[in-house]
Amino acid sequence: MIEAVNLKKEFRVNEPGEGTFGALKALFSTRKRIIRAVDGVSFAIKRGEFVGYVGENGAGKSTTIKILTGILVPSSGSARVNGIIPYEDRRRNAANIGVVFGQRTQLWWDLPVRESFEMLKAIYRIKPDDFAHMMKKLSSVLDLGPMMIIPVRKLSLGQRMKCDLAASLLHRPGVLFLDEPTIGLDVLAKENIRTFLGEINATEGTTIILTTHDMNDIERLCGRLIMLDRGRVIYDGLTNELKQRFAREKLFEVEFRVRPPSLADVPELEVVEERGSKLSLRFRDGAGGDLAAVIGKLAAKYDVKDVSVREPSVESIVRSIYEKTLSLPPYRADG
Amino acid sequence: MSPALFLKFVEVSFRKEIAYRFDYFVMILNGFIYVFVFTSLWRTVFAAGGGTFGGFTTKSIISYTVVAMVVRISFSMDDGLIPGRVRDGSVSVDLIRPVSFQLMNLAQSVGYSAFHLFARGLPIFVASAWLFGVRVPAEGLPAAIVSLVLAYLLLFLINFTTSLLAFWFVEIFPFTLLKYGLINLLAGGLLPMDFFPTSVRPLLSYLPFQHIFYSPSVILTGRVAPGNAPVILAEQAAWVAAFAVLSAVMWRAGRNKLVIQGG
Amino acid sequence: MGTIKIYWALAMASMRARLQYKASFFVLVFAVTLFYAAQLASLFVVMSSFKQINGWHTGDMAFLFGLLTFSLGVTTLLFNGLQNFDALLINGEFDRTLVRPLNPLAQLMFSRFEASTVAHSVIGAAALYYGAKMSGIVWTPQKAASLPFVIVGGVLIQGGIRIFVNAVAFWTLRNAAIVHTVVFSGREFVVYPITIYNAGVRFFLTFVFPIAFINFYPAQFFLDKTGETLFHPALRSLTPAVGLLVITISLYAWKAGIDHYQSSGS
Repeated sequence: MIEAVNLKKEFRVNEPGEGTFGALKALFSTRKRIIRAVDGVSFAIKRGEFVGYVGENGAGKSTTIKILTGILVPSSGSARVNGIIPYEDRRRNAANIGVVFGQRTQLWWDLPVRESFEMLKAIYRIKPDDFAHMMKKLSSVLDLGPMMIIPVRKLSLGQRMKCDLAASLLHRPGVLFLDEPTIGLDVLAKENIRTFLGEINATEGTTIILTTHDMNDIERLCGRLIMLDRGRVIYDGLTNELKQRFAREKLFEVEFRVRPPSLADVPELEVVEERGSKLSLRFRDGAGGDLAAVIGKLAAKYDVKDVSVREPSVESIVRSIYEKTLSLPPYRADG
Repeated sequence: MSPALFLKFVEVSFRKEIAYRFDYFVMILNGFIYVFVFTSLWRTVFAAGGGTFGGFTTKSIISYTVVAMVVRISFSMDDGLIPGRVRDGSVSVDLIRPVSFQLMNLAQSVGYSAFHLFARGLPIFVASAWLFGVRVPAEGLPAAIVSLVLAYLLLFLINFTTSLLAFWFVEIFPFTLLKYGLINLLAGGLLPMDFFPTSVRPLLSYLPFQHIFYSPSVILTGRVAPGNAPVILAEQAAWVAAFAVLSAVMWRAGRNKLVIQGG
Repeated sequence: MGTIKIYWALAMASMRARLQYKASFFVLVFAVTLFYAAQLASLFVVMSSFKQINGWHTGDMAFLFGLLTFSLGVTTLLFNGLQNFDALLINGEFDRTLVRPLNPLAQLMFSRFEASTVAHSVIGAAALYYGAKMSGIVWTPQKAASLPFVIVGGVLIQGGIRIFVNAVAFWTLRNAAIVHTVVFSGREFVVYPITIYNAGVRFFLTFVFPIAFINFYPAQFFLDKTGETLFHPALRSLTPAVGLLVITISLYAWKAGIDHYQSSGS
């Protein structure tokens, strides 16, 4: 369905001068710097997959999405969406995809919501029957009814996102690109959007690519996770697998009545953090042994007051990976 | 507000303008177009009319045109600033700052204009003086500088007053546009007042507009006898005082409106 | 056919959107009309003092102004969506047009309906009408039939220039000043007959930046201005052809701009 092969994208940026004098000098000359925003990204996504595409700001997420939606042409490499090369056949690709940019609406700001949908019906040449069918389905799931006659500028952020999602799905695209769809929404609105996206993915079979900073989105929705760092893919696999891989990253919060000078008797564990008589511990890399046995050993050898074990969330795993406190094995695109 | 703080505001706004690198050269051209169009126009009609009209000679009308245009360009101000801050509510940040709102805006305006003076006004003046010849007699300079300062304050206060309408109207662009229509026609930046029909000239002298570009330009180009300059300066000062009072009253009313409505 | 219907729907939507704020719309129409009326008034001030400019009397000058301003009104109707294009490019709104199965330029063109359209057309039509009357133009069938073509040609020239200068933004990102200079200040040149300029500028306004074809050359034809032929008498009837040429070149520039944006934009 979606295929990216060794995509690269370079930008030139101007370096601004510093201070008033530098700014004056910059009137006459500029230094340019080349930035490689996407640096050899490859992946293949099958029909109906729900993929989370994550990375820090500037990791290359948006640039990849822009290539796949036909906005940008890659510097090298190739991409196909549904058999179409998006940047060569932009308009044909556009007819087959839906795009939601979280903070920018595609609706007509001053017109009632209904009119925006009518416009999109014309733009995407949707047949009246299909339009009626889709409209009915979307408005029942998203509860659009009360919003239809309200001008877009008067909608709340959550309402607008619902309408934007509906707008991007009216023409029943095979692929839906979502760029931060839950940004700025309150918890309830986020939950509504997530439920809806799960349903669309299941009932329409829409392939969905979601970029987000909210790992709860990923944990709830995305079977598969692609992680980017500085333009390269550093993880591509099942979300659950990532959790399992770092299951041993469980943290033991141990409070001692008497703080031992060292933990030499339990070599499986290492200290991550210490706060007085409280230690945060985890399995040493490559150490064997199971949880219960280790806790038993700990309690037998030392004067332990309290032990709690924390499951790592995708959130904390991903954060740790970017903060370099966890390391992924090197990722190979062809693997 | 301390002079140092005032200068800081001037500098920041000056530097903000520098940031528009590409625009710089284009903006010089932009100003020069007007100088060129009007000097060409006056040359043609003065040549046809025997070289003098309304007390101007071909040489003196060109001096006037260049000087008035350079003043006009150097008096560039950013009209969108205050209405923008009122609309998005950030004016309430200005309210809690321990500085005078008027002086802060004046400082920003001076920085903005200073950039346009150095980046556009002076290059255009030098180029025009070289191409067309401009005469600025030295004996009028002291009065001219006072007149320029008063003219700048007058234009600033007119703009400031118009901007404050944003407290009462959602859309103030129509007012801004009307203001520019009047200034273009009646302030003397493009046409000296001497070319208006004698029947309307007395009317024009009751309006503030001619004190923006016409008054400083006629003093600068030596068209006013040094003895007559004080009368013009006094009129300018009176208009500045009038608009200072008007804008202060409006600012007070606008601020109260903001406080009462919670911005 | 279907495509034209889509663009028509887009145009209608932008008009409905603009008319959501009816009061502000009409206030703006009023203000812009007065703004241009003030410009026309300054022209009359000059004419009241000097009676004629190189043989162009008050009526001729009004006709010249009318051709320029009326075609500006139609240009604004069709091309106003390009205004502040650099901002759309910087904030990413332009990308929106690229993910739709339509031509991006056409989407922009029909995206914003502005009050100045009405104001320019009203002032322009009034100046045309009274200018023609004051100058005593004899409306032969040939002249009457030419007028629409001259307007269309003038619109193509101005629209082409707007497309061209906005295409610059694909490389420079910021182009507000260049748009202002070329689109609005550039027009000042042809408020007056171009015979007031030196030979170089006349050449420039005819063959390089051909805005003299919007009003000066066709006005010579309508006003039967004999005895002031610049370059060649055939130029008086070339406005539609020049319009087609300008719009063609500008569309190539726009295409090159989009290609550049897609391969180097961020």
